Amino acid sequence: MKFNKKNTIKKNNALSCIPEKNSFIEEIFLDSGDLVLSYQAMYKPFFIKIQKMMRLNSKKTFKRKIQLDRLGVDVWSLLDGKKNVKTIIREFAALHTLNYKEAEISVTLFLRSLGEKGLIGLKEP
Amino acid sequence: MLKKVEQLPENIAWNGISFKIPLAWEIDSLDACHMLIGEDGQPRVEFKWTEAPRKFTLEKYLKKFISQSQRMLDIKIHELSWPKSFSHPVKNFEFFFFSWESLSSSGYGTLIFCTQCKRLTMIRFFADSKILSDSLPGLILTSFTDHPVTDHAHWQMFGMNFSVPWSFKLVDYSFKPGCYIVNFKHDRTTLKIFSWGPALFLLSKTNLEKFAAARLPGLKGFTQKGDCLRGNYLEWSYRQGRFKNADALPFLKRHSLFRIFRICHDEKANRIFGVQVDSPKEYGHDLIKRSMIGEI
Repeated sequence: MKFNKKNTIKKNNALSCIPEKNSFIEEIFLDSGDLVLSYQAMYKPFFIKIQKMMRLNSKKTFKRKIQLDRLGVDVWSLLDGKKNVKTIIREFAALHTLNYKEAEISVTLFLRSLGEKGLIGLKEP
Repeated sequence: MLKKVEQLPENIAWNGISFKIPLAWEIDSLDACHMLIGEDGQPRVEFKWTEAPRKFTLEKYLKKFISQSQRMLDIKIHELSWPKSFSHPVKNFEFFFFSWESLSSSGYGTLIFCTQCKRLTMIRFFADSKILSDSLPGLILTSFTDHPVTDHAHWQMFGMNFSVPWSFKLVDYSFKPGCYIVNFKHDRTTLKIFSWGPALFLLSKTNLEKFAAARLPGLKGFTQKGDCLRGNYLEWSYRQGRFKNADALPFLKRHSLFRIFRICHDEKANRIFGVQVDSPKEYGHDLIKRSMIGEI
């Protein structure tokens, strides 16, 4: 399945995809119940050039951290590589007594932002 | 096969219209006079309504509405005869049954003109099953009403369930994840209904009083506590000037509004509900009493 502007994925197909976590992510649970996800991110080519110009130890990657709140942790824990997006939405809605539509918007936006950061991938069922 | 309206558990009430749908169906899109109901992203039924002009003839009005709908929805409408064995409990309704087709889909529907409130509603089903008394479209039609019976209109959508005097008109609404707001107005009185959720998450690091102060800056006066249908509530009532320090000027006092804000944590629904009334007189309590967080 190609994901470009001309060949956009339909909503129903997207909801039946199975999100899978990036296996290189380090998870750190905090006492507050929040979760910190730590992962390697690439420097932008512009910064690599500056490093080279300044003759610094040129590293191509650095560690990036993002902190998930309670709701984020709940969605993250539902990503087991077996459940599709629709199931995750339904379980999240049931967990927090949310309306399906409200859960759908929140969860899909969250998954989209995780996908943009490379923390998850989507596989076809 | 569904046989009775009672078997449709989900009630939807919005801007005067009210009907029942199966549990798996949900609101896909919403406007002041339009509603699309779907199931798993597939449209199931569409409601579109309009008020009649002051002077009109039903025939011309129907023709105009049909041609407008055909153009806007890009569909072709064909008239059908009255379905066999179909009857409706509301006697003020005049029905015009039709079948419709577009390039990608087809179905059946009806136009309903209410002789009492002069509202014309188009109900379009996205299925090839005909409208019969015991069919799903037939049952949805049987449960349909287009105006309240009492002087209070019932509103029910997205877990919100409240009634508002019919004289209050919908001004604005917003259904963003975590925060729903519906805004009404009648003369100089405004009524705002809030629903925030999930409550356990929102109140995990704060309490209801601090949450209310964060959502409605400028809360002042004593915090009153009480019990309502959904649990314990907090309430504030005070005079609010049109702008900061407006009360310092005596001639502006008469322009100030009396504000009541009541907030309640409904543990069962895991939501926080709020009602805010701004009115020139201390009339807001009557509104709140009959709202969704009214007294027991």
